[in-house]
Amino acid sequence: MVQCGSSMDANITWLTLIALAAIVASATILIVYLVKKPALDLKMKLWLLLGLAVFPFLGAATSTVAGMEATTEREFCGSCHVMGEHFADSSDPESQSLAARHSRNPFFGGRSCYVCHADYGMYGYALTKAGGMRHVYEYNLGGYGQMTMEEAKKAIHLLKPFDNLNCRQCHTASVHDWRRVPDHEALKAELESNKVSCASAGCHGFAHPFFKAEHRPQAPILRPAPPSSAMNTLGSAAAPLPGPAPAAPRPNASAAGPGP
Amino acid sequence: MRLSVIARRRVKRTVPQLLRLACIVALLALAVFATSIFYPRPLVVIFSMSIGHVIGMLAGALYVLAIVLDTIRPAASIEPAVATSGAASDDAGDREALAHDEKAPEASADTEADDAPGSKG
Repeated sequence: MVQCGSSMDANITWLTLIALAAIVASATILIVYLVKKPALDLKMKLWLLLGLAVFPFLGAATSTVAGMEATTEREFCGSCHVMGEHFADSSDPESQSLAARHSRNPFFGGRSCYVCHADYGMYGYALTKAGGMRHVYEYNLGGYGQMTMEEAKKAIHLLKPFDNLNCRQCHTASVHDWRRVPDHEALKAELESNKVSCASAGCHGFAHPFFKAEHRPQAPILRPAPPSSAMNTLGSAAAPLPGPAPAAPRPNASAAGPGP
Repeated sequence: MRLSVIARRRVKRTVPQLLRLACIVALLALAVFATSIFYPRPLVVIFSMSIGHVIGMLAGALYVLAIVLDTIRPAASIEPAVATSGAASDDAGDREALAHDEKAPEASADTEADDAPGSKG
């Protein structure tokens, strides 16, 4: 079994600090009790209540929330070796792939994998985490952990077509800048029904073009005209990219993205 | 009554043992929680959120069990035969109870025979 992750550091936040404080406080009480073996009077029972119930509960709760937060980090997603190229590309400041440009966004760049791939909706968080359990299973017991990168490129695919709604969490289709692009209006029905993907070769390009062997070098990216808009601020880079003329939009069945 | 004496002794010895065990189990759970904070990797985080929580709840349950046993123990000491207190008298009580238990089978057999259905006919 290939070990997941080798370069991850703890992301210390106020939540992890609370968790660590609770853990240290609890451990101190318990170790003192084990070493000194004091008489079991009421005062000691109350100390043990803190050390065995209150502080551990606080530590468990906060470490759980901190752990759930950690699972949304880009480093966490890239900690499995089959996601190594995705992580390297999205971390590359020179890369112009859709994923890399989103990962450079200061608002959510550190969580770009989760933000783009998480299901949108009331139960999106829970459903995404449940899907992540499948990833863990496939990686550790399904054979993906033993795959080379070349094997992984052939085997790993999205479980379902990438939902354009995930793009439209930020890039709303109701603003003028979106609607004034002729292709958006012409393909509105196909985009809403996910028959055409935003992240396709003829539109905004694959999010992870290196994972599409048949499309090397990077597929052409259709860039809309407006240079300054809220859409560009929230989403991809505003500067137009060099490249040949846009190709026809591709069906969503070949939408880009990783995930066993 | 004699059996309650022995049970009381056992409970008295069990409570500190349970608490020590709870402390050790809780330390194990805390170590798992801390590991998931410092090394947030998939398996570590999943282990912490599942097995770690079970270990932590086990420690809490052991603590509650110890406190419950410690709470019900004084109720037994209300009985006259076990009204003595202090370590020396407890040891004496143990010896007395054990000595009585060695003689007890005959008496208890008689009692059972007396209580058996049809024995009084």
